[in-house]
Amino acid sequence: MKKAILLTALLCSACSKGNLAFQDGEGSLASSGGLCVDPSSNGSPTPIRRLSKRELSNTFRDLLGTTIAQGLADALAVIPNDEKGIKFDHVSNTTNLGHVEGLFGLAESAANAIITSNPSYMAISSCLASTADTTCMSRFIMNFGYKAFRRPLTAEENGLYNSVYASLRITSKQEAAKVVIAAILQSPKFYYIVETEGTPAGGTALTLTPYEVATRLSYALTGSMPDDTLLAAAASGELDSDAGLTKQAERLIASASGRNHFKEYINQYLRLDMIPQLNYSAAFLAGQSLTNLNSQIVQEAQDYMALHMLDRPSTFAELMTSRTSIVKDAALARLYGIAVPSSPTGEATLPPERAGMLTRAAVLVSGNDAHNPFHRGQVIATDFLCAPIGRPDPDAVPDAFKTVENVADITTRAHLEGLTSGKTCQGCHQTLNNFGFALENFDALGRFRTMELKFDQSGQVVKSLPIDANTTPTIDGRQVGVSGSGDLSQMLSTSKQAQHCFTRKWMRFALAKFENTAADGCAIDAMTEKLNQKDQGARGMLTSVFKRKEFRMRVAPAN
Amino acid sequence: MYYNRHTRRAFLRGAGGFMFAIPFLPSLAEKAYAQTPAKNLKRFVTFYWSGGGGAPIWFPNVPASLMTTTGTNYKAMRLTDVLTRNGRISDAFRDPRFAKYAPMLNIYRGMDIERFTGHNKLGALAGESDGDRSVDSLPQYPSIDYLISRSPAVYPTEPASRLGVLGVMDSTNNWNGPSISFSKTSSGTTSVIPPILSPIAAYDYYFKDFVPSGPAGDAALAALKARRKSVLDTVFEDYKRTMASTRLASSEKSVLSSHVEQFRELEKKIDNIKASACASVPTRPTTSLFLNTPDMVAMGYFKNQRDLLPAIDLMIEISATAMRCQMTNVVTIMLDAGNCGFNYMGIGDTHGLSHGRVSPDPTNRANAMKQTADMNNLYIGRILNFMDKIDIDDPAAAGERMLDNTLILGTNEFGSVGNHRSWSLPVFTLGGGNRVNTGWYVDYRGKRAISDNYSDREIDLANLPVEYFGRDYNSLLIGCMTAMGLTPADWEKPGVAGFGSYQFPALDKGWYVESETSPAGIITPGRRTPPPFFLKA
Repeated sequence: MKKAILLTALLCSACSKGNLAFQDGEGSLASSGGLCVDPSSNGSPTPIRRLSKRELSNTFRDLLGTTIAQGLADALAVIPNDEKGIKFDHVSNTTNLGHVEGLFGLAESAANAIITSNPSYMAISSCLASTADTTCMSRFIMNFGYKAFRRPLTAEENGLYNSVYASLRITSKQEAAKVVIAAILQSPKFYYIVETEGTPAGGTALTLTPYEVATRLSYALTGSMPDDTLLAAAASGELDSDAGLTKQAERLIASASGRNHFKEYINQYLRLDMIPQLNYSAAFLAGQSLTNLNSQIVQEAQDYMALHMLDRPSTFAELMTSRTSIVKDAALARLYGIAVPSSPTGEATLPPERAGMLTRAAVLVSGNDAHNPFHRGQVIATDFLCAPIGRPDPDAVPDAFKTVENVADITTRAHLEGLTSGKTCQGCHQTLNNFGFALENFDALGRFRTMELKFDQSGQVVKSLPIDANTTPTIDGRQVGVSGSGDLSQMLSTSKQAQHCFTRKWMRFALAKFENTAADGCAIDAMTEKLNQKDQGARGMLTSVFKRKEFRMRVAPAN
Repeated sequence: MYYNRHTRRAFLRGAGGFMFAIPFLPSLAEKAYAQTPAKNLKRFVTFYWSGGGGAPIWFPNVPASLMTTTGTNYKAMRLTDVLTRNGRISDAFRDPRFAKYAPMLNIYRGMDIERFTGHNKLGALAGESDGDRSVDSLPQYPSIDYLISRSPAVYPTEPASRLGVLGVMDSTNNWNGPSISFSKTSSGTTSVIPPILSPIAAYDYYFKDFVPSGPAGDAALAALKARRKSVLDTVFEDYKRTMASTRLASSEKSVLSSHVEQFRELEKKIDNIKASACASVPTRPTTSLFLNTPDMVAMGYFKNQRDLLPAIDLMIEISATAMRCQMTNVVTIMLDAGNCGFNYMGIGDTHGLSHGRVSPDPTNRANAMKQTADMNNLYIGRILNFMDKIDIDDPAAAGERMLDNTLILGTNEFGSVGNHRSWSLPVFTLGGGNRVNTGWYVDYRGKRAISDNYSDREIDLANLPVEYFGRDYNSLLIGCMTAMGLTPADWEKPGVAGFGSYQFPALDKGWYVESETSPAGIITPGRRTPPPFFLKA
């Protein structure tokens, strides 16, 4: 409760400034109808970007092999972590000395490791021992550069690295090779996604080369460099056709790295990393085990989304209302009020009150005895409607509070509603409260309830108060009456804003840039249409982005 | 000067066997210290952890009547006298080595961050009172460790490492972001300095380029520098060519250009690689012990809780060695078990304990207090290990001791009253006797009660003593910078006096009133000057 009050204090104050909400992404939040305004658009600008730390780690693994990559873990750890949030960890990143210095050290360590361990697939030692080392190294540079740059090296690039080797080999062939490898691994063509080799397509737009398409596809679906098959597909022209591109996309989605990458998407989308450690009193738990529950809550959210977005063509409506999930653990099964499923996959049908993503423990759990309706409201606004409430400005704390009497005798909802009933608070809390209180039928651990229990200091239940989950949120610009989570999920499942938001999140993650509805609106509409088609669903939406012409185009930012 | 040398007065009092035989008179003590000319310090080390301290177990338990109030409205008592009287300084400061180190220790009470409540990692070194709402944003000022590490007073010549920021911490404990250290970018904004979380990475950071002095070392050094310069030259050429593309927008070229700008710093570092002043360094650790792996983050735990203390020990060995070998003068170490704690030792997580200290259940409260004391004693013991390792003749100052030229700051995110309060931070310093008056328990609190507008229910509930307002914590940060030879020009923004940002708007309503200002006063003086008595004249 203390935490909830504190949160109230902080959130209340935001409203005093009229700083009610900020746009998640650019452009409008169409509440109904479509977003498409310019069918001829080549999409929003795709600025050059560096690899995120996660992508860099994956790329080193795939370029150098697992054994060498594992030995580089400490050098990689020095590189600053990327911020996660609504923008994901690979969108709009800046570069500072920590990145540059960290990459310098990482590349140097990698060069040392390659020379020292001499992996058979690189055959560098025999190359350096050869009397024809210059020729051999030239071949090495071509092959290594091809993978590192995700395309064949240009003659100029070949010339640069060969001349560096030639000039330094006189002193030490090994030192010369280390310099070349370390330089390639710090090249802007390695560390940044540079798309400048395409064909002019009007204005600042370029039609991407097949290799640039392969790079986009690979980082979108695996978070790493293209594998040999994908590079070969780029080389053969297979990626020039939608069918060829779709075939490769399907292959990557089905791969282990594709599956892991999808989980990372869900982690960041639903901010599963931020689920707090579970710290509940024994009285509150009433026998509920917490063993492995943290990890199981995370896994179930990932599995639920994978089940409905990858394994079966669930529409958005089904995703928001389905009771089919994957439950593999006794503690989680108890939390959901079911027996542990007997099927090896853990597929389970949850009770009627557990319809859709909003009722997953990952959305509901607070970490301690006090449930947090404001946080729940913020999750719905941010993750499901792309309209997060702005961070609070504590100017008004605590003046904005209204006094609430006899808090021990009223529900948490009544208490918090009272506290935030002032005009100053209502600007934000009208939204937060109406979304958050619709989930009042779930306690702080995500268990279903019809009564709110009040405990005394010794843990004895002293009061049992009926839950009220009736609210009047505004969805698609219209205030609607909602009775509990089932109603809310149903409303959101048909909401254009929610559907667009779901599509936009994926587009942002896959294309690693903030979408702009003025330029990307047609793509968002088309993808959302797939999302709602019975035979396509979320899976169809995921892959449809790659079939858009915008995916094959790069528009440079305005000068 | 070396700390173990007792002042004549302390000797007399100890020899007399009566702690009250000669009343404590700070003015005399100040005079005694003043006999040694003050010198700016050479090294600065910060130890940080979260969760507060818990006033009853953190501060010495001595009656106010034994402390002397000075004309500048603070009370003080010698820690050697506290030891004599109570047998220990406090439950947190109970390590037997304080028999030796008490004269080098200062414990400050009444150092306040002007914020009502909440986590406040940005306050520790960057002087921000923004707290929770800055979880993923940056302070307005860089942290003092960064500022100190940029000062020519601390580094007359370019060192191997200006600042090492190390951490043995649960990075999922992101109450206020991943670090207490922040640099300043060329555009004047701040940027987080992420901690090095692996002992191997920390070892490589300092010692990867270790070469002993002598002909063999010189040759190895020349080869290393040549190789790195060649790499840098090649990469630079590559960036130049890429930036020449007409297909990149100017904003994109700026991105690459800012990358290239950092090469200058790298080049400087390469130029400054030197043969070590030491003949040898410790062996490279063979295991990372603690790595921030994705699976671990998802789990929210350390890979192995029992790795925490060995990891801390390694970090301390590595950083102390780097300092002894004159490779660096500024180190920041975050020891933050955060959401983890040391359950196998019967110590819960620091955050949980902070809430437990105000539990309505007296048994729970006492248990949380005990565990907090154990946790703090554990960490403080590690800091004394660091002290032990640099308790040598100062290699940079003939005839002086390294500890006299090294200021160690122990700091925290929020106050030591029970729970998430921002006043009376559990903060202390060790060492630095050439510039800092040391060996004292100093209480800066005034008599003003917490404003009625901010009645502290949790304190009342827990029946803990109310902490009165004292002085601005940032004055201590300014004191540290001053002790290191920095001047206001080093930390102030143009036209803005003082250091740190107190954005908590209620400040403007005067809710926080420093102990010696008028009731309506705003506390700007505290932001500008070191706290009284901190510095030697």
